[in-house]
Amino acid sequence: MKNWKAWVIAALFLAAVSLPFYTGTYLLHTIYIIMMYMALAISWDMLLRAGQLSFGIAGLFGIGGYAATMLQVFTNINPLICILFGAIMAGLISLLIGLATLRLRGMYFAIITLAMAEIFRVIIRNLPDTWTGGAMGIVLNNAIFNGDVKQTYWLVFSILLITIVLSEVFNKSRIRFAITSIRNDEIVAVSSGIDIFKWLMVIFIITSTLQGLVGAAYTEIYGSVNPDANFSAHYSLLPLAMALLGGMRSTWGPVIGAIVLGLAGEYLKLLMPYGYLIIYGLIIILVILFLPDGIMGLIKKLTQKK
Amino acid sequence: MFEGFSINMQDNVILKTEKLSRHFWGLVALTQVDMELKRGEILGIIGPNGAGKTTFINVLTGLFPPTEGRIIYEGKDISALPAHIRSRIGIARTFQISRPLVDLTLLENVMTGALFARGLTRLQAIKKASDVCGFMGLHDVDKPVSKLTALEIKKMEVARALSTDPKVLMLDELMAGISSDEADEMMDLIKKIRNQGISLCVIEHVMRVIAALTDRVIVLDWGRTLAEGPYSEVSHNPMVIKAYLGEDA
Repeated sequence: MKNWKAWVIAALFLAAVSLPFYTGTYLLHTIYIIMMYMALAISWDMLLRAGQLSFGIAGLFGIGGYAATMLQVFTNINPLICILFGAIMAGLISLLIGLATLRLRGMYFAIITLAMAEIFRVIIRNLPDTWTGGAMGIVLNNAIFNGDVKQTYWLVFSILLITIVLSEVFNKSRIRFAITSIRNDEIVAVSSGIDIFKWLMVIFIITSTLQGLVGAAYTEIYGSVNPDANFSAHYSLLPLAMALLGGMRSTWGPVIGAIVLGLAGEYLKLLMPYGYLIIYGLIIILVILFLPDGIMGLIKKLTQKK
Repeated sequence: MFEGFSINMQDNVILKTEKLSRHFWGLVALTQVDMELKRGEILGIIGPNGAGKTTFINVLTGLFPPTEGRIIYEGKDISALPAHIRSRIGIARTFQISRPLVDLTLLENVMTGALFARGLTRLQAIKKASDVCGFMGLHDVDKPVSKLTALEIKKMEVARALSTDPKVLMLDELMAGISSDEADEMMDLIKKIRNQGISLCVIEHVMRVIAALTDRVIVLDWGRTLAEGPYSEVSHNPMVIKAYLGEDA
């Protein structure tokens, strides 16, 4: 049974693809929202594996969303092309941001990314109303697939799949050696011939493009953008909490974290519509205190032979 | 036009510095150091603590640029090349305080040099790293670095440097923190490395090692060259003795 992992993954894949055929609209909707956060959590973790802590998910998420929506309004072409455009714009902007900031490390980089999201929000808000809709944002005439929940689910699932595959490539190819060296010891990394800046740029652009992709899909699904909603710190902090809970520096940690925190959030929302964020905060604090390696770390500890 | 000519002229010198200086703000770490490393030579770099030995290696490997002066490697000025490029053209090093990559295994640590300085594929890099580990007498290569002994970590550092296929290898206090027997083993390995045609710069405080290993030494003190020559000569130089032991010695 050496291949059991492959079988489990194949079974999960089939179950995920066929999910819309035996699941109701509400559950499907909940699941694809969780999947979007999952993709954000994984992409955030991918950059963390190279030692760079970002609080800027919301910025790239919002850029992707705005770029897609604006293209949609101005050209009214196929929403899927708009989503792709949103992802590419987030990638291009991250290229510029990266050139300016990826010489910074640790706290300094983290603060810059936090500021970045806020700066984007302020800029978008103050651009002429005819471009971005100003503080009111833009409402599209129609949601993608006319709001069909099954097709929407498959769209989000595809994005998640791309993210998971990329994340696994990061973990299984030579990229892992580069990013682990950079995270562990940059001086050793350069002494082994690793061009740190180049690698960080590549990784920052890839993860930012993914975050833009999710943001673009999100706006096409909901059919609207506005500066406060789409650049909300929520999109930076919740994925981060999910990765933290599930276990950082792996693909499956953020996946587990997103499922647990996503479902818990959904359930708590029903119990106490306004207070559920307190429980979120509590979970995060408890995890940091008692499970620094997250759920994955706990599983590893329990399954490890003594 | 005459570049080829000048390279031939100095063909037996692989690496040299011309009036190399490095200042940190007001602090002078290196001043006007001239050094020549010949092909296949083991050059010792000695001097009291704070003399600038490690700074010298850091400047040579590109961790920071020289304030003044030039570094000539195989006839070309490499003073402005970034560190990762210097690693790729054949300048490798180990560190005074061992710097293992803690989230990689022993073999994976060694592979990084082969992967990125040599641009090998993963399979090639595994082969290369296994060979180098075998040469260094490292077994159990799949161990995480947290399970390694001090000697194994030292050897791993050398193996990681060797996996870049260097022409020049700089060893920064390799013998610090290992026993005398282990140092003997390490010295045999260093001789074997030299016999492969690799030129070595060896920073060392253990004079027994310097005496047995080096063809020539340079003595640094307060960032400048104090003396240069075979260890047997230099060790009798009154200025060197004064630098190590103080005025009254």
